[in-house]
Amino acid sequence: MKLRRTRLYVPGNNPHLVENVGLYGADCLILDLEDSVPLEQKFDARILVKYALQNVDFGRSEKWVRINSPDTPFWKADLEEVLPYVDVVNVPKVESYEDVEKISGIMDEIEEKHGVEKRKIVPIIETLKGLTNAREIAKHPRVVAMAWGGEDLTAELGIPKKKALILDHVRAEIVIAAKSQGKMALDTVYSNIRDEEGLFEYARRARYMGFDGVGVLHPNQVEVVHRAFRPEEKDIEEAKKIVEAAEKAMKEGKGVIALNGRMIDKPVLERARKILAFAEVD
Amino acid sequence: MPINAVGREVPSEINGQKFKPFAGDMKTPPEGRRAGSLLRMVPESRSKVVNSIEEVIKKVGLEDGMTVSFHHHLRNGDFVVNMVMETIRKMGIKDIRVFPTALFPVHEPLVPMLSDGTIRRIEGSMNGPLGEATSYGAMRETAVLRSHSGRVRAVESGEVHIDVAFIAAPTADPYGNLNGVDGPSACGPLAYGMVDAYHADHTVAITDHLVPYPAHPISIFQHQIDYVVPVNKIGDPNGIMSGTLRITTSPSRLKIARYALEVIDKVALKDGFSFQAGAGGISLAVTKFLGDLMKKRGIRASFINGGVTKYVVDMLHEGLVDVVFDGQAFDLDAVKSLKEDANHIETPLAMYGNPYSSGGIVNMLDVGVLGATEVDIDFNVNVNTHSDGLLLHGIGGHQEVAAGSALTIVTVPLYRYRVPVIKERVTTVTTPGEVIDVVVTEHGIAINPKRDDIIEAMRGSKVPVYDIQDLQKKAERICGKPQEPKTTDDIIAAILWRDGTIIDVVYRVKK
Repeated sequence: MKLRRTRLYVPGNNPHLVENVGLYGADCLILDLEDSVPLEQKFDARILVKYALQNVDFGRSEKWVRINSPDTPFWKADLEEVLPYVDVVNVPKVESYEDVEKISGIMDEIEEKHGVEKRKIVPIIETLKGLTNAREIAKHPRVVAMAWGGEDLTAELGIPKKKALILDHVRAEIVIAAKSQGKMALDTVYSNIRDEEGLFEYARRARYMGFDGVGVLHPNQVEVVHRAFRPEEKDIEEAKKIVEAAEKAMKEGKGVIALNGRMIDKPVLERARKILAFAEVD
Repeated sequence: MPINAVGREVPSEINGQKFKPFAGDMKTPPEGRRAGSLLRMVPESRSKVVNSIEEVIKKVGLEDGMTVSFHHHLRNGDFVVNMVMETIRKMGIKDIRVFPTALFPVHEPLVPMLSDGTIRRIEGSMNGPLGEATSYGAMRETAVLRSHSGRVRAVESGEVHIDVAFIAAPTADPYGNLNGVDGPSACGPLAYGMVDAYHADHTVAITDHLVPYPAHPISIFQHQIDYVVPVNKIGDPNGIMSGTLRITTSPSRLKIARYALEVIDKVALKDGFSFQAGAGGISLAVTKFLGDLMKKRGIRASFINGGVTKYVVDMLHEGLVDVVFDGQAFDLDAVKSLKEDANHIETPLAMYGNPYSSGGIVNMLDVGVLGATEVDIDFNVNVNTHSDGLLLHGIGGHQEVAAGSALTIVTVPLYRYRVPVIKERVTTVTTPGEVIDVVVTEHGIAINPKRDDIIEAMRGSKVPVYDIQDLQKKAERICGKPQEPKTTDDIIAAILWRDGTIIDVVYRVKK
């Protein structure tokens, strides 16, 4: 099972920060062409990211690029340079299914030209309109996970982000939209990079809200989040037993899985597999 | 020239003095007896105070060609070396051999004295400009670098005879009792000065804090001090203390610290263990993380040797360690603790790691964490020169800590500024691979193949373990093949192993 507990943002315009990205064990690495790159560096960053994707060791991390949003003049050129070398395209400010379709169409062309497999999309919902359409957006076949950001949303509402009570509702809506389509839900970043305890609590809360991961801004945050997403020991032990029982039943050709006289049905087995994945037990 | 045990061609004579080639640690037994200083008798006076450096130089009879010594407890805040050497220059005394424990960028004013005839050579660590000038050929004779303990051995064996020791004293009384824990230029211990006070023919304390007799506590005692010279200031506190030392915030350096901690945990961490790490960013992080882990596990160490920082002092005061041995204090927390805590013990440098003694503290160390400028595929370590060949650092205690510790860990990034740190062959061998056990980088670790026990202990760990050759290739893949330094055949410095054998030499760098 592919984990996306952490997605580490790396500015696409800073070679010094890019060179060691594979060392930190983040599940996903996002080379960013959007907010961390000033306008006058958009071109340079694109080229830097393209070569980094081909030459830097990303370890076991999934390769993402955050392109510029569909309402800017940059996103197409971003895709043209980097798409053949990425696993996932992270698209900011997605507001509708049509937005995804528009990007997906360009991706089709580039993928065909380079003879590469279809790349995945993770849209970022950042506006009220996007939120309204989230359940539709999640249906797009390229979308594997949904992320969100609160900056524009709270600005639209004219409320300070730190005090915005509505954000818990937004979180819930993202989880429902994504999960109802069998996609992953990804929470936004915890920006105080020095506060380990706060980050741990934040990630725990995200997990219990139903998210599969959170964004991280600093390599030191990776281990803390992975710890927060690690299931309880007793759940891991229980899950091991369930999976073992399932494997045994399969070997013996039995249709029914039983553990301690109890029947194990499919959702329980799926949950057990997920627990072991999050516990990083093979 | 003979080839030594690390494969380096070394001369058998330096500055007209015979030296043996390095044969391996503890492979060259000592000969002879300890050397002594002049016996002397002081006049019937209750004060040894002399009012100026010039006057004291006349009194001790300093002449052309003699050897003067200094300690480096005031580090980059030291005024004493410049003050004394400038006076010597003005008095027209020539051909001095300067024998410091270490010199720093603040001692740059000595550079012109290398060419004006005042100084014929320096035997000691040269951090920064003096080392650089020497690399380009500024010194008339050949520099000799020794480790802290190697220097003690040289003095005790008579290899170096000190004519006059000038001892910076943050506190002194008129009869020559000295300490480093009080006064405006407090530095903590006076450990480096002790051997000089004992073995020099003449000893001069220089102080900016003259207190009534008897000064207390006492680090260097009155019967070893001939004269006391009060001056305005012996140093700048901002350069003496490093301020609040900061743990590295670099994620890749923190990764190195985490990996080093994992090695310590798997190999050596148990009740009563002992530990030494320095004051560099990675070492501080290792110390801090180790303290946290010990607290979590309820483990208590027997002693920490140092190089003492706030992080070590905190561990002492939280009951995580029984005793701190202190040869050098890096911040005011360490100075305060040394003054107030009986379990924080000032250790004379002769007790540190002199191989020709009845045994140093390093022999009791379980874990030593050290840095390096370069490491090679034979685990040889360079701490003296950079990859461009320039001599920019001293040896410090690297050799003896590496030789003494049961587990010696060298923490280094795989490369710095896109220059590989792990190389096929180090520019200069400071410490031989035979005493290095584990090299830790941000990409993973390499274990010395002769340490089966460590290889076994690290099985099942999440830390990636590589052959050192693979780390070297990885560095080269990222950075490209490094250029060799551009040097001439002139030897500008000899690097001695702690037993006084030559482990390597440093060549003059082309401008």
